[in-house]
Amino acid sequence: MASTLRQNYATGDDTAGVVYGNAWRAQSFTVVADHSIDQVDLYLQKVLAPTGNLILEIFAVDDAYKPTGSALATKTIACSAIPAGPGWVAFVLDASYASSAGIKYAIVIRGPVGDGSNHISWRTDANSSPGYTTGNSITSANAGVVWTLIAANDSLFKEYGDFSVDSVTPVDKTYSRKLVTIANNELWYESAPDTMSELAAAKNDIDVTEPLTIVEAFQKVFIANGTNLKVIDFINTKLTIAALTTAPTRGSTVTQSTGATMIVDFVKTDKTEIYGYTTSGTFDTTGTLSGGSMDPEDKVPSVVNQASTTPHWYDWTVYPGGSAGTMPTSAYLVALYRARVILAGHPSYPHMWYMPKVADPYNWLYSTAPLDAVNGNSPTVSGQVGDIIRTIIVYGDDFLIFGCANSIQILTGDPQSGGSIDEASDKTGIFSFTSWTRDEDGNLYFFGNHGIYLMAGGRSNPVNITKNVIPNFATDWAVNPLTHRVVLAYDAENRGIVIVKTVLADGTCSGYFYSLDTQGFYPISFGNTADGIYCAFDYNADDPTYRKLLFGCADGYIRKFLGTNKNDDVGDASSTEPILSYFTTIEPLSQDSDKKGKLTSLTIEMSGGGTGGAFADSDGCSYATYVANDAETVLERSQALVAWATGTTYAVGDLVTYSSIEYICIVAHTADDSGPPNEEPDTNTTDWEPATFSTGALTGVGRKNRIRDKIRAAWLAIKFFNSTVSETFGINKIFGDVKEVGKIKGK
Amino acid sequence: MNRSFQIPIKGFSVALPADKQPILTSGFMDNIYPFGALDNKIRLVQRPGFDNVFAQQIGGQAAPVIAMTSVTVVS
Repeated sequence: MASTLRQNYATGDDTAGVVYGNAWRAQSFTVVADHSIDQVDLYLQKVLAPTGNLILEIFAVDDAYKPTGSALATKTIACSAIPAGPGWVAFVLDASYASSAGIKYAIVIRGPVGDGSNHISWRTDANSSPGYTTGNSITSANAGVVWTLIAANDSLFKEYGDFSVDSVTPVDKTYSRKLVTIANNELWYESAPDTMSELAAAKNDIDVTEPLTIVEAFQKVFIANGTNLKVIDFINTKLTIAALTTAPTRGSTVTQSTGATMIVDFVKTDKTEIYGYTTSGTFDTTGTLSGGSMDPEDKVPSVVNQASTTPHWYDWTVYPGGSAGTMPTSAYLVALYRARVILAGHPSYPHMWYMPKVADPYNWLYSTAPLDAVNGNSPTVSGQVGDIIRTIIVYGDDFLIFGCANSIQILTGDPQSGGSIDEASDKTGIFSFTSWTRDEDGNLYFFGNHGIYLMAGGRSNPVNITKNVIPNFATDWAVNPLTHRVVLAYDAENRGIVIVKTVLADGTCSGYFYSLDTQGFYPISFGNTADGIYCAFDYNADDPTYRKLLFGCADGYIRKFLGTNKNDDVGDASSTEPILSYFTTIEPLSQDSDKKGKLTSLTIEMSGGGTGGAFADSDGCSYATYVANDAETVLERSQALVAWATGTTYAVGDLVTYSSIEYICIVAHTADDSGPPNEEPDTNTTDWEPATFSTGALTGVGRKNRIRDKIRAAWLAIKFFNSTVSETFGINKIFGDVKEVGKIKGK
Repeated sequence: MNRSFQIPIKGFSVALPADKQPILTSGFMDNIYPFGALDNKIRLVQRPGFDNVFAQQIGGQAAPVIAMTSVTVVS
């Protein structure tokens, strides 16, 4: 069956192309895009009663555009099967032929037994103008020995093949994205897809022991790192020259005598470097520069550097010339709002914010004119924020949040044109510039004074979403900005918020995953401090492989969560850390609070259905059961959190873990790992007994695991856990056979 | 009598005494997600593991990556 109509000419039928005996006909055509030809239709008329077969073949053509060589494809149809017509007759080729773009081929038909009155006529457009412009009709009177081109004649044909775009394939993408990251006083950028390279010029020009924030703007990255205010320029051409007296005006055109032109973007303070966007030609080290009111107009660049080769690195300063005002001397916070690259966090002026001129990060000349630079002292807005600014959160061009130490302030609109600052909350501040995130619906989540808060749409009253499930969240965490980093990040792939705290000194990291599906919190931790999280970034990479939520880790590697990873990569991923996972569920075995129940069997359905099917297969896991007469005792038995340690004095009832098993002390003693009588719990049955009722392993997917322990108790706790490398587990369902038995006796 | 036992699909909670544990929650869990990244279904599974994105170690030694952003540049 034909797929897609490719080359064709189907109009102007006014002439017979007679085919019989030695009279052969052909039509040349030119392929535009590679494809497999699988059918040819010809507009034919059967005149009276030719006999035999009509053979269609496709040939290459010679330099004279005449059929040559052996047939490339063929199809034979009996003349008796051809309608009288005229009409289209389909020839489905015996085998497809792979044609090539730009190549001319010829369709040849021959074969009927007939004469001038009985023949096949290939209908033709004589005197076609313009006709089919990349081929024409060809005839032979001696069975293909000699071919004659018939100028301005085209025989009607249609050629079919598999789909592909014939014309030039459009390209929509005109830009590229690059990741930029900082560690160890170095700046690295994505020099090629999936490759990070150091920008050597930045080494030790930043100080990671000081707070540091970065933002993208105008195809550059701006860094606020105290007195280290820096720019990484990915777009401009840099011209190094002997010092000018007067720099060219920003936004003016500078021309080199060679013909190259650029629009000036920035000039270094000492006027020895000009950065601009090249609009035509190529700058070199031979021609003189002029234009933009620069003085003198006789400078020849000694060096020309392109950002496309290596990004430029320079100090973020005001534009030279004396009319661009004064930048703040220090800042730790930078953000982009309404095309202004704004600064805050000056250590001497912590309540102050500063905004340069719109679309000009080098102009800090404050005035009341719209678009000009403005700060918290400007009379056009409500002034400084009355609290220490810890972070800046931008919501498009609508509003901006100043997350402060003890409050949340919102700047709405443009500060030079009717903008206002209002207090959104005086009950909580925001911990730091990494301790907030937004989901895709624009809801803001942050770590505040008493836990994790949600501000719907970024403008509503902050609501503490941890207080009803983890009431002591903030006190339990006990974090200090001097010793901890708190990172929040929206994970679109897993549909939730990652909330972690990391000890700055050693990378110890733990926290929660907040699910937007269940609105529940799920504790998480990392077994290796190398995986400690210090920052996060949702990277919208060009390559979908890298379009992930990325985490900057303690050991200098950038990582992401991957569903198929059953371990955590450590270092260069040559080693991995198993994920220690567990959960405990507790159940009363009787509806009567004063009675026990008897569990005779327990069935666990592991995720995965049948092995290797449509659903993800669970690996095995371990389980442990615990019993007690009350809920809190059974829960405590299942979560002994303290590891057994030699030299420790234990009292009756103390709980410890040893080799992942919980033990309860039954005789007070001081532990001694040198040997009996007070040795390790797994062999010391005098001082210890397992806190577990039973332990075991679950294997297989689906409903394949049944525990037949006979358990009589008031309360049952079951812990499922995995600490095996390269294993994961999932559980769909747990159910058991329970019946009520006698009263709880004694205590 | 056959009885279903709760799976803490709604996550972690320590707000109430153990005998009043909110339904479908647990007071003791770690590294468990309510979402199986392997097959995009809401079920209780071990969290996804950490995977290196780039082969390069930023900073050239074991020092924390403290900031990240991206820049978009015209071709």
